[in-house]
Amino acid sequence: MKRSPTKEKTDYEIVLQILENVDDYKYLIERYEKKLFIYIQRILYVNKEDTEDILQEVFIKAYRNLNSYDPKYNFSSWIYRITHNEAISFLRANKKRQLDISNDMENNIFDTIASDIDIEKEAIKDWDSKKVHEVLAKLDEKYREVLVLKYIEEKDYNEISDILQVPSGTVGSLINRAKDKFKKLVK
Amino acid sequence: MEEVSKNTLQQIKKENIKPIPKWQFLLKDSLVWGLFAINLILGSIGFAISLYILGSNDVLLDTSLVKNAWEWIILSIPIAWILLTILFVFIAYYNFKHTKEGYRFTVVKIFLMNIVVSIVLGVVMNGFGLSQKLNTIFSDHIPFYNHTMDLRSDIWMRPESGYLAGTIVDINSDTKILKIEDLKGKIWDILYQDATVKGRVVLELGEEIKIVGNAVSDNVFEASEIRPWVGNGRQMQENS
Repeated sequence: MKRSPTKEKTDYEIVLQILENVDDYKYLIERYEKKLFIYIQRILYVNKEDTEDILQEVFIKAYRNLNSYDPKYNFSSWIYRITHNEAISFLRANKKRQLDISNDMENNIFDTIASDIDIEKEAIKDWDSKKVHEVLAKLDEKYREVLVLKYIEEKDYNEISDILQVPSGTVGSLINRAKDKFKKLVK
Repeated sequence: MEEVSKNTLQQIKKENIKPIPKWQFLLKDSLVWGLFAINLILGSIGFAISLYILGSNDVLLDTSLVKNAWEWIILSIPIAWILLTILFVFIAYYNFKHTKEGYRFTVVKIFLMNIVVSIVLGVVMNGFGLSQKLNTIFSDHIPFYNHTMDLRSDIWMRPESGYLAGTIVDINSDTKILKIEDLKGKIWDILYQDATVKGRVVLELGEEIKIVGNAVSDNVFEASEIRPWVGNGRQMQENS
């Protein structure tokens, strides 16, 4: 009888299944690929092909390291962490690349950042998502990533701490600094 | 998007990629924790021996033993051990940072924790006399130890200037002559008839002592004061 993970199964239950049968990995990939695809695009501003290459590498690394996953922690944070590391590696290998700010990702999501950072009053309430997208592109990758995690991925401080592997206190100051930089760029 | 799932599984199968076994992760974690513990203990030993040498160093309170301030600093403070302690605390910090949850702690928290543990363990080790025992072991087995880590021998092996140290190997209480084996293994006759013997010194075989006086000949030394090897001027005054 073919096993098929249901939607009710936890990530960890699927992980255990994958360790028995690699084909079950597709269920976990399906669960995360879209989220991670968007996450990579939001932080790296890369085209679809590069995003898919990075994503594939993320899933290969995750599979290799599956036994290091500790069910005490969120699987989501674990796989986001691997994605973050892959993104950093990509950035290091492509230092002089041009950001692809033209790509047509779900731009409306960037509205969230402008409103959450509370800068509507500062004459940008009529900005469209593309402009927010452009301002974000000008931020350093570390500030952009923390804003994306907080305001778009809606991760809490502990999750961001686990993903970026920094203390939660540092997450708070990173977010504040990122907000300040964002505001300065807006002005 | 389906391509990612398909391509990933294809690559895993084609390259026969397998998950790294759990024991390898456990081993790596244990190694990092083990190294952290080792460096924390080494830091504590470093601190304990620094305390011991500092507490046993006459130069700190008796400036007549040195010529100038620079010499006083070099000879009274166990600089090498303090530097080694700092190094171990740094390595322990590095190890802790690389444990599974090390990233959750700030640099300040980790350093404070390492320093507090090293100090507490160091004080306990020193209190139990472990630092003295370890220092003796190092001194006996590590070449150049006495010229780099514990400089007391440099201070007390200057018979021509009136300072000598060693272990009592023979006592003649009738003639008031001791035989000592100095720190370099040479045997000396010590005339101690007119010497002040500080309170903590017990004139018995195996006792380690420091002697102030003057060299009468190549192997005869006239003592004016006999101090215990362990302890500094203040402790000796309290005990004399």
